Amino acid sequence: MIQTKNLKKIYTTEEVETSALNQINLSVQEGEFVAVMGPSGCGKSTLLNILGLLDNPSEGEYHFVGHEVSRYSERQRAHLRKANIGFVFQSFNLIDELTVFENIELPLLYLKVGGNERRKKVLEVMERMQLIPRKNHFPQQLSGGQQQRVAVARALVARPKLILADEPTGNLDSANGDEVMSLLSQLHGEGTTIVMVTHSPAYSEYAQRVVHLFDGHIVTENFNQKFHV
Amino acid sequence: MLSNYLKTAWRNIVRHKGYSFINVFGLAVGMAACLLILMFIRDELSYDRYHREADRIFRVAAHVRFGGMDRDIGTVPAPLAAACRQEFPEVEQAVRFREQGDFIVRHGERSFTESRLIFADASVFQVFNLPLRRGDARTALAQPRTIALSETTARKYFGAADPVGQTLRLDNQEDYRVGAVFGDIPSNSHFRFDLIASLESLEESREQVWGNNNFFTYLLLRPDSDPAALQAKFPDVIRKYLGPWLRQALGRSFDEVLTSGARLEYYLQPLTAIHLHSQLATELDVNGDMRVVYVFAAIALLILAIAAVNFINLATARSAGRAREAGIRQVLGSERRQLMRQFLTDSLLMSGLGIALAMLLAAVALPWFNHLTGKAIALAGGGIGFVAACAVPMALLVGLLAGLYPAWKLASARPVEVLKHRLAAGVRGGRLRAGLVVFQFAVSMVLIVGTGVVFRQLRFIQDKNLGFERDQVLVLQNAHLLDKQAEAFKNEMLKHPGVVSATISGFLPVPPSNRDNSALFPKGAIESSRTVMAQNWRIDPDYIKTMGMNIAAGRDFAKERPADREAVIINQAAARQFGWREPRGRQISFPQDSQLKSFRDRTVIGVVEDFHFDSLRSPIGPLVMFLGESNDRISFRFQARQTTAVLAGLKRLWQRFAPGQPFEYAFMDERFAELYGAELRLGTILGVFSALAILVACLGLLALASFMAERRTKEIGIRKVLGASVAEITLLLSREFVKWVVIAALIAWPLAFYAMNRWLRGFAYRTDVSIGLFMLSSLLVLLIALLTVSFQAVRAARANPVDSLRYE
Repeated sequence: MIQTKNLKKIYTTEEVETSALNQINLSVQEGEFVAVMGPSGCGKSTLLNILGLLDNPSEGEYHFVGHEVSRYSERQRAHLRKANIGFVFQSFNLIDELTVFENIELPLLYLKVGGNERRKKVLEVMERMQLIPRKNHFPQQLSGGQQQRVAVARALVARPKLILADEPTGNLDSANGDEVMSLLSQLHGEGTTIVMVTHSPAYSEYAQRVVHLFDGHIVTENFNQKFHV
Repeated sequence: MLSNYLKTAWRNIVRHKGYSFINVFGLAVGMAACLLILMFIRDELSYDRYHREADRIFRVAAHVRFGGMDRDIGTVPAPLAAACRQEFPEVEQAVRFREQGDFIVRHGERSFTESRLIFADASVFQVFNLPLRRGDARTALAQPRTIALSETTARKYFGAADPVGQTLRLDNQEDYRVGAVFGDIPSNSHFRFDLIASLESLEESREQVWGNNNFFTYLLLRPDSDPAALQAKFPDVIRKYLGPWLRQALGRSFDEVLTSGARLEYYLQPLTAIHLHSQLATELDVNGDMRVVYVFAAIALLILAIAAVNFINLATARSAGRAREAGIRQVLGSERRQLMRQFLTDSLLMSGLGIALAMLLAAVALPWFNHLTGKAIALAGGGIGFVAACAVPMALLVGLLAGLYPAWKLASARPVEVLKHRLAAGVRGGRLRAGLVVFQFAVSMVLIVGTGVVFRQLRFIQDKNLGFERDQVLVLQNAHLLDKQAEAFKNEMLKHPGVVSATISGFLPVPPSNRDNSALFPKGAIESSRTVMAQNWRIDPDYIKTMGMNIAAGRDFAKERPADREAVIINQAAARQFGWREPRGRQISFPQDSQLKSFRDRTVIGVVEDFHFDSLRSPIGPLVMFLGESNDRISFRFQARQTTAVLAGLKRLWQRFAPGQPFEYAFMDERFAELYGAELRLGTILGVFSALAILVACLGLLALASFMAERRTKEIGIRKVLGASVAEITLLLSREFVKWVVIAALIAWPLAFYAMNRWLRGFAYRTDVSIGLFMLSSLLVLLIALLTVSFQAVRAARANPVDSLRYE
C-alpha cells in the first residue's frame, strides 16, 4: 500500500536548511499496523504528514495505492486523500461549531455522499463508538476521551483504506488512552491499515511493527513477536 | 454542503457574539448612511424628469454685460417667446412665467399670504406635465383674470366644493375666476406653484419691450430638433428684434451698443439640468448644487469604505482563529475552491445581515434625515425598490471584498502549516490591516476638519460686522395693506415703550426684501460706458438709524429738510464704481423710463458704509438710497427683553388697523440666518456623518485591538512573568496605533487643506483654514483611538499571567 524510496524533507528558513527526513525507505502492506517512535523532533510527524498526503517530500519517491504521488498538487492530493485516508490527531481537531454528528458527517460531505446514505453511515459508526447519546453535543461539551472517539469515528466513517494517527493518546489519561488503543486494534483486526505515531512504548505494543526514527533516519525496525507466532 | 457552510458560519457568528455584533452593526451603520445619501442623490437627480417631454423642454437664459457688470439671468424679455415661436420652426410651444412676489389671496372669510403664485401663459399645461383634476387645459388660463389652483390650495379655500367658476380676490383688489385644479406639483421640481394666474392679466406680458428681462421662458422643441443648432440662431434674432428697439429707445444702433462693451447672449438650459446646474441671478426657487451632490456621494463612499474596511479587518483578524477549521476541513478532503466558497459564504452571510439591519436603520432614520436635508423622500412608491436595488450589490460587494482575501489566504495555505499554527503570521495580513486602519483614521480626520471649517465659516459670518445691526429688529410684513395709514401705524407703534425706532421700507438687507437693480449715470454722462448698475432703494428718513448703519461721510436724511427729497445717499461701493473720491455734492441721473428719454437728478449728501445686503458669497455691490414710498414692510428696532411685549403690541395695533388681514412678521436675525441655511445644513450633515464615520471606525478599532491583544496573550504573559507593569504592557499594545494616527495625519492634512480651501473660495468674505483645526482633528482621532485601544490593552495587561500562558 505504501512504499517510499529515499524520501527526503528539507525545511528552508531564511538562514538555515534543516533536514527533517533523510533517506527514508519504508513500506507498509495492506492490513498492517505500524507504530512510529522516536524522540521529539526526530521527524515522526513530518513523515506522517507526507504519508498522509498533507505535504510533499523534497526528494525521493512515494507510491501510494499504486500512484507515484510525490509531485502531486494539493488538489490531486486532496482528491486521493479524501477517498483513502482517515486522520486521528493528538489534539482531536474537531470543528467547534459543528455537533458530534456533523463533525463525523464532514468527510462524507466532501465525498459528495447522498443525504440518506450519509445519515445511515454516520449513525452506524456512531453506534459502534457508542456516541449515539452524544449526537447533538458540541465538542466543548465532551471529555477528552469522548472527543477522541468522535475523531476516530470521523476518521472511520468514509471507510478509508489507511488510518494515520498522530499521537492519538497524547492528550488522554491512561483509561481513555487504553480505550482508544483498543479501538484502533479492533479496526486493525477488521483489516484496516494503520500507521500511528506514539511516544508510549506500551501502546506501540499494539502494532505489528515499530519503526524507530532518529534525526530523520530510520534506525531500527522491530517486529512485534505476538503477531508472528 | 451549502447548509453546512451556513451552519458553521451562523454558529461562528453566535459564538463570537461581541465581534459579530460589532462587525454587523458597524457595517449596518455605514451602509445605512450610504443608503440615505443615495436616496438623497437619487432625489436630486430626479428633478423635473417627471415631465413627459422633459428631454425636449429648455429654458432660455441670458448672459448680460452692461455697465461693466456681467450677469447670468434666467429671465428674458416678454416678446422673446413669441419671437421664438415665429422664427424657429423647431419650437413647438413656449410658455412664460412672471413672478410678482407674495399675494394676499382671499375667498370669503379665508385669506392667506401666498408666496408660490405665478403668472403663466395658458400653454403651461401643454408644455409641462401638470395633470388637471378639474377644468379644461385649453381654456383654464386663456382669459385675463383666471387662475388655476393646486389640489391642496383648492381644498384650503373651497373645502370639498368644486372651485371651478368660483372667484379669489388677489391683494384685496382684483377678482380671479378659478379655471382649473391641477395635481400638486411634485417636490422634485425646480418650480413649485400653488396658484397659476393667467399671464394675460398683466399688461406687460403684451408689451414689446426688449429692455426688461422679467420673464422666465421655456421652449418645447419638436422631437429630433437640435438645441445647439437652435441656440446658434439666437444672435440673428436678437439683432433683428433688439436692434430696432435700441434705436428707438436709446437712439443707437445695435453695433454701437456692442462696441461700447455691452453683451447680450441667449442660451438654452435643458429643463432637467436646471435644478443642479443653474445658479443664475434670477431663479424660480433655490436650486440644488451638483457640487453638493458630489460631496455627498464622496461622503457616502467614504463611510461605506470605512465600514467595509472594518469588516475586512475583522474578517481577516478572525480568519487566523479559523485557520484550524480550514486545516481540518482540508485534511478531511475539502478542496481549495470548496474552502474559498465556504469562507465567502461566511462573509456574505455577515454582510447580508449587515444590509438587512442597514435597511431597517435607514427606514427609521429617514424622517430625521429628511428634516436634516429639507427633503421629503418617501419609501413608498419607488423608494423601497431603489433601496433594495442599491442594497443588494452593496452587500455583495462588501461581502466579496471582505471574504476574498482571508478565503484565498486560508485556502491556499497547506493544511499542515495551518494545523501547526504556523499560518498565524500569514493570515495576520499585518500590512494590509495597518493600511486600512490608516485609511480610516485619515478619512475621519478629513471629515472632522471639513466640519470644523464649515462651522468656522458660519461663525465668521455670524460674527462679521455686516454694516448693519440685525439683532432686535422686528419686521412687519404686508404693510402695504395699511395703504395710506402706514405712517400713522408707525407713529402709533413708536409710542410703545419697547420700540426704539421704526422705518417704512420694503428694501431690507435680508430676505424677503424688494430689490431694484437699475442703471444710473453720473449727471451729464448718459453713455453706456459710464453706466453704474446699482440697487435703488426707496427708504424713509429713519431708515439708516433704525438699521444701525453708519454714515462714512456727509450726513443722513433729515425730515426737516424738504430738499432731501431730491437727495441721495450712496454706499462706498457705488462711490468706487462712479470713480468719486469725494462724492458729496455730485449728481446722479436716474432714468425715468425704459427709453432713457427723461431723467431725474439727485445730489449725493452722504456715503453710507458698505453693508452686506446679499449673501457673503458675493462681494458688496453698488447701492443708492433715496426718500420714496415703499410700504411693503415696516421695521421696528426694539429694546432687549421687550420682545414679547413689542410683539403683542404690534399684533393688537395690526388688528385695529387691518382687521381680518393676515398678520405676519419676522425677526431680522432669523432671516439673516436663513440666508446661510445651505451652509448650516452642510455643516450639520458633515458633522453627523463624521461622527458616524468615527463611531464605525472606533467599533472596528475596538474589535481589532482586542484581537491583537488576544493574539499576543502569550507574549503579554511572558513579559509580565519577566516583570513588565500594566502601564508598560498597555503602552506596548497602543504604540502601534499612535504610529498609524501619525501616518494618517500626514495623508489627511493636505487633502483636507485642499478641499476646504476650495470650498471657502465660494465666499467673497471668508475665514481661513487654521492649523489649529488640523491639530485638533488629529488629536481627537488619536485620543479616541487610544481610549478605544487602551481599554482592551489594559484588560489584557491586567489579566493574570498564568491564565494567559495556560491558554497556549
